[in-house]
Amino acid sequence: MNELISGALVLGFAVIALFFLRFWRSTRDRIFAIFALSFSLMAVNRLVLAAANLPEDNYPYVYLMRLLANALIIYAVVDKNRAHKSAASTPLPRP
Amino acid sequence: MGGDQHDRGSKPDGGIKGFSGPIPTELARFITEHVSSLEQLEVMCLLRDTAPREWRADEVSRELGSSLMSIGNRLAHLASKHFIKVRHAERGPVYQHGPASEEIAVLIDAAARLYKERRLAVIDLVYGRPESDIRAFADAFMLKKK
Repeated sequence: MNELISGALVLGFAVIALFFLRFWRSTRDRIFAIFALSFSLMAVNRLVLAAANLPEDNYPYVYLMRLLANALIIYAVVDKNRAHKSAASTPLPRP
Repeated sequence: MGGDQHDRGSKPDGGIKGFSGPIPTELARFITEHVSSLEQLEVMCLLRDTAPREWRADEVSRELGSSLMSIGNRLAHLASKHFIKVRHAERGPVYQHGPASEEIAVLIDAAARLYKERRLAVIDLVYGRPESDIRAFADAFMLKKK
């Protein structure tokens, strides 16, 4: 049963990551690229936990990946607000 | 609508660098948010290219070969957004290029330039907006309103 749930979670995270990748390709908004990376990390994290029979001592290292994935989401939101403030964009041609 | 009217460049573009590569985000946003049709863009470009000439709605309608009512609405809308100036004369309102701020003036110049150089890209921006919902989703993460 655990394997079934792990498989479903891996697939779910991978599909979400692919959706965000597609959003990024159509809008070129960096927030989606970072979200895609974050959800890819979550998928990999679940895959590693399910596939590798790790000794319990190594669990913290696996969970660090999840921490990184969540930190990326926070970073993406901060970056989105910062980018809007500084209106970072290609400069317009001026006379 | 006049097919070749974008060649109407009577206003010198002295020294403006052409567009190459991706369209600047600021400009793309301006077009998607404020340009609802090519007719509206044509009206904006006509007034800009012929500045400081003042135009009545019927003159613009004849020049662009579009309906008077539609052009009248476009001009009134652009004036309400302060993208163009309006003066109420005896024979009705007359319109003239004169954006309210330097920032808008630069964006209108850039949009007109882009429309001349990369017409299809502009058409795509105005009419092909499948990602507007996705953009709204991305903008939902903004903590402060625009």
